[in-house]
Amino acid sequence: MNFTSPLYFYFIVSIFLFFRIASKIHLGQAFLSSILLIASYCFYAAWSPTYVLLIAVPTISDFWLGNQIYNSSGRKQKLYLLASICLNLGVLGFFKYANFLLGIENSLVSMLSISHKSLVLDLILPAGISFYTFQSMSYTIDIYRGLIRPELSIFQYALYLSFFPQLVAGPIVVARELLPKLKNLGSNLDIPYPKVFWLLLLGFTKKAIIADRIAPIIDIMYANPLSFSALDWVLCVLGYSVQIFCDFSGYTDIARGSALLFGIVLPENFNLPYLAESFSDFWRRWHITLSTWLRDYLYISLGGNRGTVVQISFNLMVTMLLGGLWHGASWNFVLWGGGHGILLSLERYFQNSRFSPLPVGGTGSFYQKTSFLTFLALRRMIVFSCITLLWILFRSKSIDVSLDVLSKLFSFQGGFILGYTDRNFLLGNIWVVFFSHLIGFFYADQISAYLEKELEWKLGIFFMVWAYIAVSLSRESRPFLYFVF
Amino acid sequence: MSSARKSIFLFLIFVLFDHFFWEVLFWKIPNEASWGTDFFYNYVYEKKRLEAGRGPKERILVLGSSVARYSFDNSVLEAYLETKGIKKEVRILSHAGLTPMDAYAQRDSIGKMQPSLLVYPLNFVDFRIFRAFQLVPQKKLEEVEEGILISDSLQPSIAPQVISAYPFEALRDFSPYFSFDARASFLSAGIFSFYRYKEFGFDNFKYMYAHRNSRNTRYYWYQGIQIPERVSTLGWTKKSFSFEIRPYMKEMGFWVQVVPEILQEGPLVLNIKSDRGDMEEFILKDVGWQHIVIQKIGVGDKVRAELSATWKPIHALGDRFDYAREDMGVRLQETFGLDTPHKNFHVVREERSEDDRFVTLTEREYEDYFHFRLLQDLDNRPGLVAMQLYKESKERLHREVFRPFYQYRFLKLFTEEMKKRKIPTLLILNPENPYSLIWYKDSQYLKDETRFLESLEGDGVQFLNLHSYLDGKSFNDYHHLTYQGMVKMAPVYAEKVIQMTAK
Repeated sequence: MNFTSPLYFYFIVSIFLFFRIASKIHLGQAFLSSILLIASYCFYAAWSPTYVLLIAVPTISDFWLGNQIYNSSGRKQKLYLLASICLNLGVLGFFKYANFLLGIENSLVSMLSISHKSLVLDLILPAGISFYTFQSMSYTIDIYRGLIRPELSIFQYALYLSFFPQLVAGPIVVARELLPKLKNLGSNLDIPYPKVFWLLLLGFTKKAIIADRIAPIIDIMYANPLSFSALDWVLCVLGYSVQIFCDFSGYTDIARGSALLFGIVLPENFNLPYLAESFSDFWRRWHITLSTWLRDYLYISLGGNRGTVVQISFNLMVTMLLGGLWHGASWNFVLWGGGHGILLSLERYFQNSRFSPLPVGGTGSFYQKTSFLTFLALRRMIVFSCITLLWILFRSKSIDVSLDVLSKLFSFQGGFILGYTDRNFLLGNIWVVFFSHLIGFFYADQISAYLEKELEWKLGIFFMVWAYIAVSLSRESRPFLYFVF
Repeated sequence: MSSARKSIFLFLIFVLFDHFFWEVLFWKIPNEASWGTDFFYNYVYEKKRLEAGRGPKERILVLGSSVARYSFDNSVLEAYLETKGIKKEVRILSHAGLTPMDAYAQRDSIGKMQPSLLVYPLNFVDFRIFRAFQLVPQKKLEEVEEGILISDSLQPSIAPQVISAYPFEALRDFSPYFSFDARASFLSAGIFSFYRYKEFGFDNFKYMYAHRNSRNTRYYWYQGIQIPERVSTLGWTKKSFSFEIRPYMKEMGFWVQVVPEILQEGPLVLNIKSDRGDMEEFILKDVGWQHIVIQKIGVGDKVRAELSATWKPIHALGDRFDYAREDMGVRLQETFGLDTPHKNFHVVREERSEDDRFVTLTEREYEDYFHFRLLQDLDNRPGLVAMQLYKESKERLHREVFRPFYQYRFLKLFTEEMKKRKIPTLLILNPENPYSLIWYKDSQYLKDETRFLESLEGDGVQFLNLHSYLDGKSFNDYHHLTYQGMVKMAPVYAEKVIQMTAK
């Protein structure tokens, strides 16, 4: 069930009305949770009923293991935690990485000239598995760390893992943050409708009008990397930066808007990422909940910022490589994560240098002397350019395609030329995203404050016209890019 | 008022406004699209006009796919009937790919159109058997599950008309074949008209704006004045073309498109000579749309323009390349020669140069052209996949057993509905090109199919088998008639119409 499809519209409206009536007549927290749990499982089953069985595995196992971790100590406690981590990563690894690992094994065996039969498993990656696996792991790790107590109701825990607005593509919300909110369902009936409409429409517009219309152009170009002119490739790589931002942040906006209808405030996942001043700043703005998860549960566990520059760089590289792999089982994602790891390590290395080109901490003298607007803009452009180039690895099906794209991009050669309409559409949307980042930069607080108020007539009419135009301009909905991660 | 109440109120306003705008106002705006510019907009437009009722004359309604559209013309058939002293209104309701399933779902709508006779020409493509061979090639026809084919026919990518023309009716008749997602889409299309018409909703505004405020060089189908020497569907002239000088041609000039191929021997000379002997010459050296301003020749003068060179699509490059051997000249603007754009041009069929290209060919030359144009070098012609598929499917029919399922079943249901409503209906197995008919003419399948169509006769339904009626040169391809073919068929159809409507 795609967020931008009519089916989701009817689904969310029916669940909301049912939930709202149940809240008004005080049917109780358990009843409200049941509505959302059933809705969430139906939502997930709409992809495939077998997915429901799959999500039941971490639900039951981590619910039980959480209790065992809490009620034990010492080595036993560690073993329970290890069991939880192994089980979660085992299921994730099997569905996501089995064929990747078999491919490596096959390549190695071929290199040794040993005759063998290539084995490929016929697996379909269940939607959202990476997201709810990370959520489930946060639960047992937080219990182990003593940050939370185990949940008493398995149904409440099941709702935490399957809450439909964020089930298939995040935001990844850790147990200590979301479980308490889900336990207080119905306590806040004062819904900020303007904010709900804003988030739903903004998300729909980003996804259905910008990302889905850009996608076919990008798909054609990546399918024929050597055919198009270098100038069109400049537009294409910029266009993909726009597509992936609008696709993923559009999903998050709709998820946040949907959750708000039930009084649940989900965290922001994007904060004007292409205005990042540095690479570490980018990861504080892009897919914030994943970066926070990786920081809290991986980077800090590895040692975090403690130790020598080499040790910190090692921690950064491991975190980013695994972060890359989290997105999918392919060498391209490994390289993409590795690229970000190198940039973060270099940035860390230069942070305290006198000649830091990309300072982040504000302690470098060069940084202090040069933090005027022009230099800031230049820094942002450099960061954006590097990130955009790394998206080539992210988007390409293979390293060969990435190399073809890069060679064509920097060849300054001609080739097939995109149609006038396609070019203008790409260019137009690059400007739209650029200006909307600027608007967000200058007016985000004012907009946010305005949306917290009661719905004014003029704002209501504005939303109505917006919805009208957005749906009219949308085309057949395509799956969100992050569904496959 | 609380935010929640305001939201509900605004939503209701939204629905009312939506209905008023898209179901009432939108269809009052003149239609400036030619038939091929936007099949489905034109189809819904015509459907609404016909549903609104008819005038004093009795109405002959021709229903069907492009087969119907290429076989009939309102004015040609009306004119023929008038020569026999019969005054009837002939109307054609068709879009590319309209199937018996579509017709069956829209039975109520057809009833509202009050036809005194319904004419439904059909051909092999309308039964969509080729789709079964494409979707489940390994299965014999009798093993194919009907549901797969029905679901396939309802997919928005294959049949966009279902959403825009009859969403509620589709839900009523075909609900079991829809996924939840599809049901939600059809429900939305039924409730929200802006969603229903979103694929073409703003297009007519775009055409109207372009016709009034642009050069009209962005092409859909040519819909300017008829050129006596004829132009192609995409507006390409022959070596010469005649027209009348309009005031705008002197004030603002007009545009012609020049292709590189025509400049191979040097600049192109466009010589325009009026019937009063005035002459103007234009030297065109550049590729692209060139501006021509008439200075000496007076407004209202009839002129003949002569080009110094021509080009052939078969020798051209890029999107100009085509498997066509005719000489082409320059391209005229989409609304060339018109002071005001045509309205409701979608119901008019004018002769184009694609129609007259076979006229002077011998039978042998035509046969060669048929294979060259439709069946040669198919690996490099993805646009002709359908032609190859039809050919293979027709050949395969020799090995298949006729089964009255899928579109045949819906055709039967449709004729039964027409019988119930007492609407006389003429089913026609329409002429097919002998060069494609030969692939399955002798098959048992075709014999059984014909027997099935005959079995539908009775209670006002009649069947007319014209499958082998015309020669090859009367077809653009396997089943679409040329203009000349259509004119040849008019008396044949008319005689049957007269017979069926005689009181």
